[in-house]
Amino acid sequence: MILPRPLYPLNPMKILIVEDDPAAAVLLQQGLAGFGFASEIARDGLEGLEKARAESFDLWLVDIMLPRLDGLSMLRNLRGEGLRTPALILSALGEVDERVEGLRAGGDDYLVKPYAFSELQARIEALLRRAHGTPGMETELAVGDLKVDLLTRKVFRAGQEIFLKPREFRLLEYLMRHAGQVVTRTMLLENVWDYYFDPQTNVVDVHISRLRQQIDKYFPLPLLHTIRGEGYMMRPGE
Amino acid sequence: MKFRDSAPLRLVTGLLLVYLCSAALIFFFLDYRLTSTLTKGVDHTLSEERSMLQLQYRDNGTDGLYRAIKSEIESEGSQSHGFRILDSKNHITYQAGGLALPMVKLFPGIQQTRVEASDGSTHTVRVISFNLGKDMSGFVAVSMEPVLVLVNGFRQTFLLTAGMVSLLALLLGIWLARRFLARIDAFNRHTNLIVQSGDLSSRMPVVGSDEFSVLAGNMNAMLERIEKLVQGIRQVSDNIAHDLRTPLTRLRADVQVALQQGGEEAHKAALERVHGELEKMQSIFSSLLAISRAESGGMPVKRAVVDFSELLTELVELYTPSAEEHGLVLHAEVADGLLIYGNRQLLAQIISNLLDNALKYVPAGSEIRLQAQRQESQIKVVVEDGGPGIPPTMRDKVFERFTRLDPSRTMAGSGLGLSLAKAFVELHHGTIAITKSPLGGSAFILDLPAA
Repeated sequence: MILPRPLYPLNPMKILIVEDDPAAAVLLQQGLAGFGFASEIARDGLEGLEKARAESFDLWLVDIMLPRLDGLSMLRNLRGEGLRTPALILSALGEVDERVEGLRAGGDDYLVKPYAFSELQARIEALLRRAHGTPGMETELAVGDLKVDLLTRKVFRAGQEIFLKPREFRLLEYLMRHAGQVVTRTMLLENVWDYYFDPQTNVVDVHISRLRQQIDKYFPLPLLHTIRGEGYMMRPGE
Repeated sequence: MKFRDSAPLRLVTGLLLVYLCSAALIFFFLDYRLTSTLTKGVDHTLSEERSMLQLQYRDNGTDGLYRAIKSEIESEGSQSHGFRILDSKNHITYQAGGLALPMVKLFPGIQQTRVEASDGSTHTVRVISFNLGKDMSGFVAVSMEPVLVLVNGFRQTFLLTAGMVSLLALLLGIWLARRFLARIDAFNRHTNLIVQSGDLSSRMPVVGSDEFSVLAGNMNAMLERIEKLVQGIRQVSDNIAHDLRTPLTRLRADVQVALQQGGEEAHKAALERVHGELEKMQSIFSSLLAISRAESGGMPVKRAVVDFSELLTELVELYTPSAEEHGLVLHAEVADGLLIYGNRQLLAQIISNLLDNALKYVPAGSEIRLQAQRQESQIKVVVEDGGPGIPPTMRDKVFERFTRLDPSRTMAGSGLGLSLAKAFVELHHGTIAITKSPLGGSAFILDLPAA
């Protein structure tokens, strides 16, 4: 289920959609409006280049295969001009090396078509959060009474230390850095395990439930929530 | 077939031309040398006759001279020699021998001319002239006929031999060309047959071990590869048709029922089912695409040295909680320092698919074991389990697309995981096979070249 979850409702975010298929572009625009994002459509790479230069967007959604100028060249140009707007590449090309190529060209994330809308929403929010936050500066993360010390790599819940294995710590750190946002299984596999394929079994879910055992089991208020059909979210309370 | 379209015949003709040119060169050279050597011999005889006659004249006067000439003619034969002595007024004072000489004046060196002999035949002769005292001159001629007979004999023999050799070479060449052509014709007929009939299972006949046989062998290997690819494509399209028809039919029925029934709850439930089916179909499509791209070599893969030991350890760590959840024990024995030159994501996906497979089919209470070690230049990975195993007749088949042991296809899975694993293993120049595991189930054995 997709619910509107605007991050900054007073100051609506504006997204540039660079997509040559008109039907897909309009669907994307409607979907983004549902999340509370305003958006504009560019039909090819050159138009995308012009619009990205002329106006300040919060995010670029870029298809790779575009007429006149492909998405990667467009991104390379914009990055070359010093524009740092976060870019999410949408592509029908799903192979590992194409993902690497996309990220090298200046993309911040890569999503393979066709994708679930909830996946797109989660990634957009993660990118916006990253762009507006101060990444790498925190020494401590906190959600409710759960605190993670990034320097000593110690975890405390209500003042009580919780001992985690290194991978569990990375999993928790990623979830906490995206507190209040949906984090999908694919995002976890990519960012915590560095795997760009989806296993056929529910391996990630089992890791989450293990982590939940550690951080939530003995406390009345759960922090790690399952968002059905979408993924997981760290947040204090329901 | 036109002559100029036949490569072997062109070759034979060319070789024959080269042979004829060299033969002509040799002929002219030998002929020139033979003639000049024999002529020199004649000339030598002439100079000796001259010296001898001059000596006789000086010592014994004209009488001695004439005697010497007579005895020369007696010993050498009259038809091959001619002698003439002139006085100061160029009148013939003496003449002997069968050759009539036309000359009346002294000349330097030796001349060649044609004269008539007393028996009426014409001779080519060499003539030398000389002084006898103050007022007499002499001429001696020697016939070239014996030399010419010899040279002519040589010419005839040479030309006859060369002609015979050429004829033989031509016949041999044509025979060889015919033989070559026959084999090439066989190839052409055979390939044509394959093109016409589309029967890719047909093979070229391989006879002996010459270049033609190697060519036939290579063509057969190519045919085999093509046949395999075509079979693969045919099978995939059949399977896609079958495997996608079922969910498509279900989708259609679901949508139709939902449209007729109405009601928001029913609509929503139908939409959710449709969504689930679509997701399944999408994953089948992307797996099929990845398999066929990996198999056809159309997948661009960036390779690097991958720490396979570390990768396996990470994967075991990723899967251990899941295995426990399924009531399974996952044992791992991974040797240190296993390096593979390959793609980390694809290698991970191979192992992940094998572990997923075990999780799906091995009943609770059993065991999964993963072992990896280096064996010479190979890295051997065994993923085995205490599950139901795979019957020997099915062991090759499970790597084919859409093969599932469960005929009713009620168990989870698309039947593509192992095909994908095999395609990625082969992309890394490795092999994958199944045997029976001592644990009771199946053992997947991977051999991958070490970096």
